[in-house]
Amino acid sequence: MAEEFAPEVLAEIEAGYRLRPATQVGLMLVLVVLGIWLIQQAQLPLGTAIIVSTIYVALLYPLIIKIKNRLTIALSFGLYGAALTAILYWLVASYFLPALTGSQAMLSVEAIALYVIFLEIVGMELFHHLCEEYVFYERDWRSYLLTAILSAGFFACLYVFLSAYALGFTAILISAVLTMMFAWAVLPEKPV
Amino acid sequence: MLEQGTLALIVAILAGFAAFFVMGWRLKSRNPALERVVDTIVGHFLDERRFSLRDLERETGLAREDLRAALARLERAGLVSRERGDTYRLKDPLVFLTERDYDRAMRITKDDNILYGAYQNPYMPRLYLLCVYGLFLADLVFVLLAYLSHTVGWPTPTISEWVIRALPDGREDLFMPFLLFLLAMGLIFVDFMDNIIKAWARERFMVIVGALSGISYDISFADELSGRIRRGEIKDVDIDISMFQKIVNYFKSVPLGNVKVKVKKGKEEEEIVFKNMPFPRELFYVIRSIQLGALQWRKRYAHTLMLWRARAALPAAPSGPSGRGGRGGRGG
Repeated sequence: MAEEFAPEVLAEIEAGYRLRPATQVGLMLVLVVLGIWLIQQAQLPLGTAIIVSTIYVALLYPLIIKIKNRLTIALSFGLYGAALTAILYWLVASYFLPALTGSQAMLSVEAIALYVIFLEIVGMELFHHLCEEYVFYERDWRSYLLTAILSAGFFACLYVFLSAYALGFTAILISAVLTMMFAWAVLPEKPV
Repeated sequence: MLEQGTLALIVAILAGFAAFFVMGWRLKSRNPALERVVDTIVGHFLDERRFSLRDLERETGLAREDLRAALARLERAGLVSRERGDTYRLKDPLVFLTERDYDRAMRITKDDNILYGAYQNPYMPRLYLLCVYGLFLADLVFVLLAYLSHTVGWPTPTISEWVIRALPDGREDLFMPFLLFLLAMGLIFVDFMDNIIKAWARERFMVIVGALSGISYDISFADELSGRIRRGEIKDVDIDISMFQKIVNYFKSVPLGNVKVKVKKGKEEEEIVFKNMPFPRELFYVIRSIQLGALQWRKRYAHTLMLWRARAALPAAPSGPSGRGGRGGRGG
């Protein structure tokens, strides 16, 4: 009777539910080519097209590629770095540098606060998406410390933005509620 | 010829890719100490399911610091849990419960050997997809429309005007950062919803399979595993993965499927369906094996199962058991 189960247990447990590796790679290539072609059709400036394409590939990769080995995981990390750099470059080149060089008005504190919130959230969510193997699902002091630091930053930035509405104590209240939501979202939950 | 700015962008993206690629590659380098700890646990402590740091030190010959580091990684992978002092408890690789629920399950089954434990996802994929992805999609579409409305006046300038009016003192300089903020908050809201659904499912839909206790499951929010199917009551078990589940399984991180258990209690027969169970094939085999009293395969393939589950902790471990070829025999 033991033998009845053996082949199934020995077969790659997750692989039984996934597309074959060659199909995964093929589908990834097809979707990448299709996506880049569509981005090209939008006739965006070259720089913007490169940024959008990088983010598109980074978002697509973990959905399609389920093969887990050293190379695929390193590629996933690489795409995280590429996507994050692309977003950072876009923000710096489009908003921060023109303000610093004087070709645009200086950025207000509220605008900077909103950009910081955006970067914090996107960086964290992209990490959850692309570097799943290193997300700490078992909560320990490190995950709590990281959450506390990120939440403090989120709260401060949100409060700076909401203060512009002259809401008084309500600004603190709204910031606190949204920060709690943020903190719970940051703390990773097991996928099952 | 590329402009200087575009070239700088390409170089920056390539540099970001290379830096993180190297980081990922290094993180996945081999860790002989950790592999030795896994081998020792499987080889010596599979039956007792408990071991102390001293036992492990004696069997592996590794330093305490190395052992602690290795065990911490295995703890994060959900393979062992620390009890009091330096004693550790081994978890079955097919147990996906939280630490609290695992303790609860152990208590209720009177310390039975839990072979499988997870939560049903009855709202997957319908409500889940609708809430989680639908909301984010709506947010994304709104942000895109507002951006297009502001830059090219399509579909109508009213959208961007409405957004700007909502900003403090109607400040236009906050328009773009505010749109990015809306997009980011959409992501946070999605994560938040996801956590709420998971928290609800954990309180309401736990299913465990014990070697002696059979199948136990929650039947209401306040329940403590009062749903019971004893081993002798299992008449048949079937796996049911719909076409939609099959397609979703290609892309989601955790494969799901329904498992139907036919139960015979006295003269009455009923069918109990566990909906959207993680790793349904494995659940099917576990239920079949307790029904037939054939658990030898588990021990024989414990090493391969454990390597599969430990792959996040074991840097160089392959995706599945076949790559390393467990002690169980066939390696390919």
